[in-house]
Amino acid sequence: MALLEVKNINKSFGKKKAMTNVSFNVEAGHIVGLIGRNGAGKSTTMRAVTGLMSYSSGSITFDGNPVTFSNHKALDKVGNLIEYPSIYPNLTALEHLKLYAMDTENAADFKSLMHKTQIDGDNFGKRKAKNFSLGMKQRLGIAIALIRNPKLVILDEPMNGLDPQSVHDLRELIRELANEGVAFLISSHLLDELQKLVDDVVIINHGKIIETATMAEFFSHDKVRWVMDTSDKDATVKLAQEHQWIVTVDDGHVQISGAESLQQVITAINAAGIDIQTVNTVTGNLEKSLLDMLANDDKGE
Amino acid sequence: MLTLMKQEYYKALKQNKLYIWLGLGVLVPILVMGVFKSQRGVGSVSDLGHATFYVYLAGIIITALSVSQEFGFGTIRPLLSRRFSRGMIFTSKLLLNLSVYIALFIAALVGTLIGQLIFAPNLDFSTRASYAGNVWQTIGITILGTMFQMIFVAALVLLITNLVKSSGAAIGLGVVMIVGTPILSSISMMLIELAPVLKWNPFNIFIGMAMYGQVAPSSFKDIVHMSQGTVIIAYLVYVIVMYGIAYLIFKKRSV
Repeated sequence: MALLEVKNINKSFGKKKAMTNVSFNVEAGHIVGLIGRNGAGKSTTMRAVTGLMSYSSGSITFDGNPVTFSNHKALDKVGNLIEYPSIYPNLTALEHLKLYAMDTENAADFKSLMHKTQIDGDNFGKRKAKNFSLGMKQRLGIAIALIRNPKLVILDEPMNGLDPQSVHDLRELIRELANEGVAFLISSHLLDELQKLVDDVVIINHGKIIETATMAEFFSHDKVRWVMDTSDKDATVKLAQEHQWIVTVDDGHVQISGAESLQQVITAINAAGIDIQTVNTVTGNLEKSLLDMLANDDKGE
Repeated sequence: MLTLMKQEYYKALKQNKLYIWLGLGVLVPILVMGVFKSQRGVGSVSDLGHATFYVYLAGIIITALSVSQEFGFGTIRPLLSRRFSRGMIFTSKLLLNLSVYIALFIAALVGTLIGQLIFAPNLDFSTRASYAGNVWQTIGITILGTMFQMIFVAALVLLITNLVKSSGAAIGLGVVMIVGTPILSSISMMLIELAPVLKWNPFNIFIGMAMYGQVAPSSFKDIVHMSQGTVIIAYLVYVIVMYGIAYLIFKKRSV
């Protein structure tokens, strides 16, 4: 049984359908990326999972226990950072952690957590949060999400406002916690970062899940391809078609995929008397795959 | 519930403005009695050096902010996405507000006693101060009466705050309920003249509570058109209904 099970959730705002049969699972120790355009339903989904918003039908269970708008005792072991950090301006970082630690007898060690989330105890630990930068507020929001030693952490755009070093360190921290068995549901527009981090992806478009897959499965949509310039573009395309490879011409360059190897392609082109001027190998790319998938989904509607 | 209360007190005690509100509660009666010689008598002391108005205003503002700030800071999300029910969270807010009202009254009483010691040392607390009795008894009735009015207005303020998620409108309404009593009284009288059944309108009940213990029962009935006991029952019904609606709005609100 998955740690978090979301089954056929529907939600409307008036006549507008915000979620249509949204279903996905999050396994313990897995990092799941919830991906989609602005307004696709990512935050709405996260709010439903955290009991902040009602849903008209479907079910959400965490660790086998139901999570609804009116009953979310199960959320004791779920940490979250949704939309933007929830900060009391008159409290210091340390006071925030003390406040939220009152919820549980099994709170994380403050010093260790502040160290992991790069909250400088000597500085930010004593300053009022109203004087914090956006990045600092974000780090504190992440620390608050982790204070109760949760089994699942839901992070909505956690990299907002973080500098590259902080993004790298957050990625390491998430990976470390996932290795310890903590599950993550993360949304972010920084797809390059997400690509480095997540195990599974859930793609949402117009409130519908259009793909749930492991990262490897997801990239099977977007195979390795070779982008090249040759002495005879048309002949190269014809040759590729004869070999039943996938071939397109994009921005004046010939793109070939579906062959067994680059060597096979080069040998065939050379044998046909065509000169290869340049060749680049392009691997799977989350952004391109996502955009292709969303475009296909939009066409289908 | 205990955890929620501990967290509410922790947040409140870490706010400088709470100490400013309480400090002003002590200062207001001292200043009133110090500045105005006419306010060093039995009437002024019985009204906590006229700090009841301040306590009332501060209480209303604190009540409105207790909910609207959670929405404003975004802290409503972690507050509602935990194991606690919305009923428990709402109750913890009410209990905190009640504690703050009591603290404000204590501050005003301390200020009144300091003011009396400095500016009216010869004032005899056993002097008959009102229909209710001596100065101490009148102070007690004043505190109770004001507290009941605050609870009534606070219900309305909470209702509005939950509805519009902003403290401005709620505080405005609370202030109108305080300073606009003569206007409310006129409206109420006009309504009752139109139809006697309109004596049950909330303004009349509110005015009835404000006058409770201040006038003799016979005069009370002439003004409010019902007995003191009936006003208390009607008041309780209104308070329960208004807090109930405020809670339902809070319970249903998606954040």
